[in-house]
Amino acid sequence: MSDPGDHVPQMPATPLLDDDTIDALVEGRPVADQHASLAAFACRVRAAGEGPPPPPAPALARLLRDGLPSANGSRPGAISAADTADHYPARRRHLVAKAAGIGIAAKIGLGVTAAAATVVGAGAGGLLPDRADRMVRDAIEVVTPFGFGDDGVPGGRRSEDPGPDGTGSGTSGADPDGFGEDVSSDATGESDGEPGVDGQDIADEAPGATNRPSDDPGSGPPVDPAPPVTTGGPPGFPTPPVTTGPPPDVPGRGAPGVPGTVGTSTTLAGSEG
Amino acid sequence: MPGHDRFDGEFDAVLAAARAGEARGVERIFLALSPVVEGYLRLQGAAEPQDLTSEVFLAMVRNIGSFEGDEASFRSWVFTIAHRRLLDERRRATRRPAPAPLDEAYHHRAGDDVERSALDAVATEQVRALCERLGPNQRDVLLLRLLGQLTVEEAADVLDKSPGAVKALQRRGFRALARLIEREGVPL
Repeated sequence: MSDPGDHVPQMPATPLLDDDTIDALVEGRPVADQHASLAAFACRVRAAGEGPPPPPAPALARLLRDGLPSANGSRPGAISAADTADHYPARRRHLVAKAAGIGIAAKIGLGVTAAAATVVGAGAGGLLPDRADRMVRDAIEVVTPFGFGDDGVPGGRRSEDPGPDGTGSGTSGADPDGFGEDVSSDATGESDGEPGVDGQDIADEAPGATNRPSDDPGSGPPVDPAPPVTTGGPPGFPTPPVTTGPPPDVPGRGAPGVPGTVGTSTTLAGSEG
Repeated sequence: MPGHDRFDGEFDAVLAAARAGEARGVERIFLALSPVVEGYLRLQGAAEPQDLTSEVFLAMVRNIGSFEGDEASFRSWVFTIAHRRLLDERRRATRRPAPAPLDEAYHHRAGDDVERSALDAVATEQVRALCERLGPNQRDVLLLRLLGQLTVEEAADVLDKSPGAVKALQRRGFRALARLIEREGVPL
């Protein structure tokens, strides 16, 4: 039989916390000695919010100094995202400052690399003139595993590429459905003795007839005077839609006591829940 | 509730000025609330609490026209923005590896008393480490209650939970903290 004093609890006893104690901890009122460690924790947490204001980002600093243009007579609250956009957060400012401090040789190297990357990117996107475009594509195909098909799309198959079965039956091979086996007599020259079509007359039933330019420059299809909105992406790549609504992280707030419109926030589900 | 009157009774005038885009209104709000918002984000483990704080206040300025309410509601609204920005940052962090911390990332704000600043920084780091070991929901609730000085109902609104759930999380959070401090002898 062991003495009562021999018993050592496996887990330290946690003092009971009633609602009054919790309220006192939250509000910074005195609590019983057994909760002193929690009171110290609460005090430290509150102290973390009592320092000086953090340095504002440039856009916010501008706002704090000058206010908004809308302060000069326009309707209140109509503040655009552009007014408050901050393009240079601290990390980017740090990188820019770092770049400014590197040597001249490194800067030249960076410049050459950036220029080369730009040319390669433009070539890959098909933005260069035909001759330069072909040279860049050939260079890319030599030094990278990527290939450009005839349509200029990376990864596209050339006509001499092997087909899926690896037997050389690529786009130039015989089609299993028989497409291309019948050739027009106009093309072979059997009809008029001249091989190939003359290209002058195209049937109106042919696809794309409505978009085909006519001889009369004034009678063509209507042209939208507004240029298409592009965001700098290469041709053939979809442009993301531009949204102008408020950011989803900003909750709406109605009258006091009425919860605002809550967006799709992801609350962190924990096992403590 | 302490901490709710940070505008010397002039909240309505400050809000009106800020809604009109006047610098003095925005500045008053920033001076009053940015320290607690930054403290909240820092103790939540935000990678760049200062940048995130600026983002919160820029979003606040952009949307202040839609706000109606008193100072307590405004404080709760700002913390809602802060919390959602924090969640956004965490989502971004899961999509790409966290960058190496900058030299000034753990910055000690220069003050008159360097020793005091250093001690404060150490204390804040101890508290942050303790918070890190809590469950995320417990941490959210305790920090909103202690640092944000939000009521149970306001914290529930920010976290999109019921007041009952917030009270339960609060109690469990405090008990978990007490166990941690007692078991590991964390100096506070």
